[in-house]
Amino acid sequence: MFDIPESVKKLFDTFPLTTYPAIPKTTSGNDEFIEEKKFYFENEKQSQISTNASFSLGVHNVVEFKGQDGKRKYIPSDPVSLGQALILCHKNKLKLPTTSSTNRSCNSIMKVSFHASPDKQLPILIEDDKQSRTIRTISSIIETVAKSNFQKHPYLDAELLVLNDFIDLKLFDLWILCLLNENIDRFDEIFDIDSKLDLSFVAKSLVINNIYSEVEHWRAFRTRNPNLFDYMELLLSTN
Amino acid sequence: MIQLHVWGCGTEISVISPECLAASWLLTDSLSNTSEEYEIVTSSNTNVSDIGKLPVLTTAERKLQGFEEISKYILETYGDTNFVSKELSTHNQLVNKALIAKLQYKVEYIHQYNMFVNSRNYEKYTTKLFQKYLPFPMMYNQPLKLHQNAQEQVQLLGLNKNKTGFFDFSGSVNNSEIAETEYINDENEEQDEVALSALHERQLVAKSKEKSLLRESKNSLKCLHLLNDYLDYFSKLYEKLNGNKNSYGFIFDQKRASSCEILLCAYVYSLTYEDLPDRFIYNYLKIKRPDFTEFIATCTQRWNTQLQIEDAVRGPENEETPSLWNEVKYQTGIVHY
Repeated sequence: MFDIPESVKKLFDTFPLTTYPAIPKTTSGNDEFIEEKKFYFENEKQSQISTNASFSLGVHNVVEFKGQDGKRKYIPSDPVSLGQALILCHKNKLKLPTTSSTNRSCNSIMKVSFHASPDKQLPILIEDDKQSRTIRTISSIIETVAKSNFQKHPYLDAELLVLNDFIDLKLFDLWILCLLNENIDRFDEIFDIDSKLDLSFVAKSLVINNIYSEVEHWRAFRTRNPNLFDYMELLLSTN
Repeated sequence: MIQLHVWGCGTEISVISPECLAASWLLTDSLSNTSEEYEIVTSSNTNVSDIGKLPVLTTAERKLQGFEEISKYILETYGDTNFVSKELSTHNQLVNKALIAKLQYKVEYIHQYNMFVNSRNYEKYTTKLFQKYLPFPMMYNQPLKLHQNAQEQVQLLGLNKNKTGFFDFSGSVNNSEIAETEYINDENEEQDEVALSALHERQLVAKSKEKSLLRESKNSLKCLHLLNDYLDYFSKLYEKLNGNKNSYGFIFDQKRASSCEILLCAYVYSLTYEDLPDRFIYNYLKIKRPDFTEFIATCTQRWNTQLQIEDAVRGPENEETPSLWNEVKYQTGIVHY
């Protein structure tokens, strides 16, 4: 058999070797694991007919929040997903998920990684009707909302449609600008960064940089505002 | 002294930036009756701005960037004898803002298409402009950058970039455009073909020219369709607020424009500019929306004459010039704008 050359062996021996315990059943892809990440919407009325089709809104993370009725509820951690979750609730006559679920529907909010989305951007809407599953990106959700809600009255339309676009675009841009420029206290919570990563500064900054490198491309922010990024390069070069 | 920095050369304000044009019109029209001193500098120097974008308005205390901020400041400070802003209801103010966003994020890309991607306009008009705007070594970098930005931006509207032949120096960063199946098949064929003789080569060249022409006209049609959709917002709003179907005028007031309309006029003026070699947008709008085009033309005419009468436009001086020397001074921190 081969002998490992001394120099190579020395090199590898310098790194500490850790043996991790076996991970038996809770690997991703496991049903239990997926259920753990799902937060089900509540039905508004007791007797709602359950259908085969269901949907899940894929978001970065959920946070707990105390509603007016005193119940603890879950809401998505970023404003864009929260907006879409509320639209879904309104349109499907659902209520936000609560901690003490009594009347859960088959639809849910689900924690996913942004890598799950085709354009690396959350929220995504996963529509499941037993036979097929479609994943819709945020652009397609926004387009559908605009199309199906503002097309009945031709005059009212133009005005509402413009306002709708304004909110979708300008407020979204504002959110991205906040993310890029401001020091956000609860960053870990918003993007669901594993608390185990706190142990390693390098690993954590890699994960955070990974998110930042995508943020500027969300809804083509960088393409739409190239001048802002020229300036950033300039800042880097002068400093 | 109020100073407005815009794209342009000498006393002429450029059509490559409708925002600059709109800001200049707004400034001259609002300040013509006041005693406030002001000047418009055609510096074409993006370093003046903190966000790398003209127009920039500098007053004694503040520096304002971009049309939206500038228009808000001017209308708030210098009253509104010629424009409506403050007396609009909160709802209409929001609509006004939303329409500005529509222009900046949708019609802007059609403008980019018209200026930088439409190969006839780009090669015969836009590239030549920069020779006038920027002094010797600087005129190479800036237009290529703008050209590349434009190519990326038009794809947001679903317009593919046109092949610009010899002038396509911008690199192959973004070659991942989604071509239609027919093109994919065609292009594969084309690559396999090797010219067998001089005659065959000539035929091949002719064929590829035909194809790029076809692609370009397809893009132009798409562009016109989108533009028509966007302008629909304005005409529908006019119809709603004024109840008049067959004409077009100012949306919120009988006689006075709002800030979104001055920007709309600037965009339509640039899109249908008379010196452009390819005026496909003008020809389309003239037939499709005669009232609209005529109304915009009278407005722009009035503002342009006022710009000439007021005579407040001057070329850049000393440190305002976008020269290499000033760029070096700016980068090293000797000059601050």
